[in-house]
Amino acid sequence: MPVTLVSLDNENYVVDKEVAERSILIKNMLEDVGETDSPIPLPNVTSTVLKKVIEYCEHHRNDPIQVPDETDDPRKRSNDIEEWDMKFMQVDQEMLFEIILAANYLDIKPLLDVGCKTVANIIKGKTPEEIRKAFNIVNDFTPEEEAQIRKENEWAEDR
Amino acid sequence: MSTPMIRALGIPEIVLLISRYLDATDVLVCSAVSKHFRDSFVHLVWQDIHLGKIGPAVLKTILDTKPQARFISFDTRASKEDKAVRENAYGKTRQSLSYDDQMALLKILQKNACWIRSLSIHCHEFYHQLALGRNCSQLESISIDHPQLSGKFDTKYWSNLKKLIKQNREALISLSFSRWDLDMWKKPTTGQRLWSPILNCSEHMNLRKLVITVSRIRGRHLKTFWEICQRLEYLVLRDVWFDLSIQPSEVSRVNAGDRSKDGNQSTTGNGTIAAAIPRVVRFPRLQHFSLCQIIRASAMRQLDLLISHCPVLQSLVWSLPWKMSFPDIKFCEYFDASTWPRLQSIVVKDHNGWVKDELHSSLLKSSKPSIKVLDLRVLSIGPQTFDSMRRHFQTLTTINMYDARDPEASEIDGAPAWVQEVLEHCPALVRITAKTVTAQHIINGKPWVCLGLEEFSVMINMEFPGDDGLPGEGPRQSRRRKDKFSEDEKEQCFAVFECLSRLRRLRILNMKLSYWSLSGTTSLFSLPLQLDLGLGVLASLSQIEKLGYHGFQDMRLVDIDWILKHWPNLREVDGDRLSTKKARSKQNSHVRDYILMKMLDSRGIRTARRYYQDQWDTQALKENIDHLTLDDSSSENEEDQE
Repeated sequence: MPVTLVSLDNENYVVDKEVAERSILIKNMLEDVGETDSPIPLPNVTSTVLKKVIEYCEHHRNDPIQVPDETDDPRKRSNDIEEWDMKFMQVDQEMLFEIILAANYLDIKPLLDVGCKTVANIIKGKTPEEIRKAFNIVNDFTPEEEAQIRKENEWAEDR
Repeated sequence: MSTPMIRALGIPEIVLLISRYLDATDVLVCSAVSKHFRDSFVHLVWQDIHLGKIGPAVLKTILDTKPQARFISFDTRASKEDKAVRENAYGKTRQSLSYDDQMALLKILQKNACWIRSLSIHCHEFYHQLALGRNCSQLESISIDHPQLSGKFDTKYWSNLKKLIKQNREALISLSFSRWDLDMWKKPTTGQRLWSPILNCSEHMNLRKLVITVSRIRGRHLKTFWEICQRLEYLVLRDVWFDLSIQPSEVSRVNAGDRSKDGNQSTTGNGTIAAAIPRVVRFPRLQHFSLCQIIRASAMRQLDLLISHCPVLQSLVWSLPWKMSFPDIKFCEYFDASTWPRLQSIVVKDHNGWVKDELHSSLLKSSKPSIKVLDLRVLSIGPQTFDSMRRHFQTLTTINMYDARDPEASEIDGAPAWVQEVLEHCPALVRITAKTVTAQHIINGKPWVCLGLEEFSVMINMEFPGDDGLPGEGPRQSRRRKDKFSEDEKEQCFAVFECLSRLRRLRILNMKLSYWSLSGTTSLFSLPLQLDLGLGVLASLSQIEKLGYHGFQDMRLVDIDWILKHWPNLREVDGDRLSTKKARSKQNSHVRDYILMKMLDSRGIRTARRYYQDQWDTQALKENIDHLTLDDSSSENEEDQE
């Protein structure tokens, strides 16, 4: 049975139930409501982002449902992103964070993970200046604040 | 209008998820990017603080489980250039901080104390170390190693700890006091100072995890101890002296509500056990219990008065001191009486090894839940035990069968056929430790089902003949030889590599046997780690962190190059020489090994130290080595002519 999703800007998307249920939020909504053909409004997601998210869910429609990591290994690896996901995540950084926000809101754990891994991979091994460059961030510290931070961090980085 | 990035960084769950893939340095850098970044990341910079300089080995174990741990020392400051030196020769470059510097650091720590969730003290360098003040009120974990109980830390230091525990008593979940220099002859004295702070606020504490090492608990402290035990989920006692039999009436009062349950319990099992269980359960919530070297009480008393008092126990680690043997019959009786219906993990270390195979076997047969972790060190796993282990194959995640003994195999080999059987039948297996498995068993066996395996610590014995058909070069090494491998032997190597290549989650591939276990003449032949013998199919094992091999290898530059390229997470290579062949005739036969080792070193991969290394690390050989690096392929031919 297909499900209709409505984005913030009122675009309608008809997808298979199985695809929509990759989102735990939608899955729970459908379970609460029962059989219905009324469209599901997603007021936090714009159409461009929703399209992207649906593309992800379509590709991963047959994946097994992720069980929460019982062992909770503290050493998480970010270099194990699948090839398709890697390509999927090659977007501008604004879109990258939009996807993360949408995955968080819609509760799509694997997508959120992949998004966070991608961000972590951008950050890893860089200097503050390089991170600013990568994310287009202005350094808004005053020189005094920066000096203070440097002083504090100097102690923290000494191993 | 805020950007998506700022909105995302404003959600703590998302920041936390991102940070789980970062290390301490990355997090620190993030906190210095911009105000938004700082707001999101600063709490992660200070969340897990370790005070005091510690040696590289301990450092590594901590970083393995807590990658964002931050180490701060009041005592030494070394520049980054010094760091490498310090890691090699810890302690040589020690410098004391000036008092002003120490105070400046203390101020910074006090300022950020509000972010600290976990505080660990490894070295006691400065008596203000614990003066983190009022801001520090969210501490969930305090851990103190090797407390100094005399000298200048006496008063101020401990009164600071007292304040700290009091200030954080409601948030505190985990408290650990461990002392590593175990001096068996001295009377433990840790008790008073460490227990007094707890004594004052035990009523408000929500402690769930407690670790105590080398200490004596007595008097009022003992009463507090039993009170705290009522709430504990995790308890480690190592070298602790206390009176097991005392049951303060207060405890019974506190726990009056639980009594009805105890009534039911004492009706199970036979009469003697029921009589041994007193009315009050001492550890009603304890899930993990680790007892080590409890010398003053017999094993039977430990079992009756401590271990049998844990109705929800899931994991037991019990290490008995010398001359104290495992009370096997009694233990099985408790087992039969369903004393621990949730027990999943049993680790028993009995130095005497008196447990008989039949008893083991009955233990495993009577356990109702399926065992997930089985590590019965020093005890022997014989045919009967192994047979009853088969019942647990579906659930086993961890198995240590290093001391398993198949009567059909030699003592050195252990139980190769059983190892293969476990690998064929345990789908949930994550870690396996055993002596050896042979190539023949692997090749003729069924495919392995344990595709989630992360640690494979088993020597793979190819059983090839060595030079001249002679046995190996003494008990410590595996055989080797100069001759080329036959087509048949090559095929066997390929088949074994093929089998390993399916273990895509593997992090530890340790095919090294502990030397101490080897006696007599060996008939071992290590899997040769060479591309032309099939090493290349292991490209699928991209998560490998540690590689171990037994005896000597004959690797070449191309093999090491390949490893560096395909195993980006590799941090350690453990084994004897990487190559025994001469790089060129008339050259010392260690040269090639040295170069290969240095290649690994230069990528930050740890290797076992060579006995000749100190001498060679000098600049003297530099030229020689550079030259050799260039013409490895041509030197290969020279070898053949040798």
